[in-house]
Amino acid sequence: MRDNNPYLELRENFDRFWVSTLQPFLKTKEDMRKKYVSRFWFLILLSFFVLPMLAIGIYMLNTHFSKDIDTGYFYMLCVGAVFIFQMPYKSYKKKIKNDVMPKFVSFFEGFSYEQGKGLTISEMEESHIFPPADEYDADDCFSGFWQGVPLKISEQILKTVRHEKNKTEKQVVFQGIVVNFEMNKKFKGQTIVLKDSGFLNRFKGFKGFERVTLEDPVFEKLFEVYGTNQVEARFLLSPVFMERVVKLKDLYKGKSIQLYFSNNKVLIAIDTKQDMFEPYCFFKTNLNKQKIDLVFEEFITIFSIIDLLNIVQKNTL
Amino acid sequence: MHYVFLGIAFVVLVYFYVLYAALIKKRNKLKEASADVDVQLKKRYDLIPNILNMAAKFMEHEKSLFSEIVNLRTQALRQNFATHPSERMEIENMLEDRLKSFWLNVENYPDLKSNQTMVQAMQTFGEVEEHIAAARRFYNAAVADLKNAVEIFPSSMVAAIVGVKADQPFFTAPDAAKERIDAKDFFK
Repeated sequence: MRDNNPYLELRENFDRFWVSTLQPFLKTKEDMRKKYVSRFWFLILLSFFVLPMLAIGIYMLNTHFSKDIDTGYFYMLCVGAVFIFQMPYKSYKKKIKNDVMPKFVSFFEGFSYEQGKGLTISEMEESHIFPPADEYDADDCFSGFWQGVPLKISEQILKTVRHEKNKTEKQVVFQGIVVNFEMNKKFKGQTIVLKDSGFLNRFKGFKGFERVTLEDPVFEKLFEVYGTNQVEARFLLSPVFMERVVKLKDLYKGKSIQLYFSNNKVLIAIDTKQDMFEPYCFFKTNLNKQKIDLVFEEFITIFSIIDLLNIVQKNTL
Repeated sequence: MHYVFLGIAFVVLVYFYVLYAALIKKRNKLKEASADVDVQLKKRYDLIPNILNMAAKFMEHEKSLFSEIVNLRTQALRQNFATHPSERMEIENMLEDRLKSFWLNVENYPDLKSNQTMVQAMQTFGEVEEHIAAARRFYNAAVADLKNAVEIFPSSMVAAIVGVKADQPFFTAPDAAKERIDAKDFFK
């Protein structure tokens, strides 16, 4: 297994990077973490005192002074308190990420980190690979090169919003990573690879796109393809490439993977349904190698997409 | 009672129209696919003179191979793929075989192989070949679609009435490519 792992050397280098750079850096951030944790516990303790006092106050006013104060106010205060409790954690998360992630990605040559700078709404809508949404949020965003291929990785969260009488309901329809990189093939049209929806496929359609039926039965069972040009779609999705996409699907078992090819670039959306790239701890010490290793593995998995799809290799005879 | 019969007749008519429309769409798709094959093959023909000109300076002993390629290219350009698919497939297979020999011979000329313009030409040629392969796959898919519609009931009935035929051949690998290779031959 060790011999088969092409990323073994990278992992060994990363272990050295942890000892020489990340660990000492995270040590300097420990005081900051402790400060935020103290704030959190202070707020909890404060609420143990304030909330019962408020409850007693409302009760006294209602029973002894015949005031008619709605207990709904108390519940609203409780909700507000929960929101306030989260504030130290959220502030810490934002701060530590902005500190740690640039340091972390500096391990991968030419990589940079930005928070909240993902794809634009029009880029997502144009691709047809994201479900319709009302709110588009971006969390972590990385850009750099892997094996010479320009690459952009962003974490996107898409939500639908439903307004009903007095309440607003939000539902996450996509939470995952979007990988954007340049292909080794030149093309002008657009091709979409969507997950197969069974008999519902026949009700799908996109303006200017035609259904492209491909000859690989395994691929056809998992995906459905639409393109603006039948030949170009097949040029991109060669039999070998189709096999690789099937392997990619295996790599992210159970996750929805959809692809969009346009303007010499490919966009891969993987609905992981979880928050990714979280290398920090809040209640425990930040010097947790396991957490950092997890983020490293997430990166390696993304790099393996490029290696798996063989994007680096140029066309030659 | 009349209305029931009229209703049934209407439904049957609509059904037959849907079958007819699907059949014509498939036939047109095949025409489109054939035209696409022509477009992609044209790219190959456009590249051949440039590559041969470039190689001629280095490969003076391969004149017969060069003239074979030029002759096959001229023959191929005389006919349209959409109207003469079988003939063109035969010529294409021969041309491909000759081109394969040409690229194998290029290996014997290191100066030519390392020439930057030649490297670029090889890359472009590789890309064109991939486009041709894609166009062939589209054509084969369109032929299979039309053949299924023409041969399977009930659309076969409509095809017979309106005279839609599916006699276009599939693109297949040339016989030489199917020949069994004996690994022992390489170690003689």
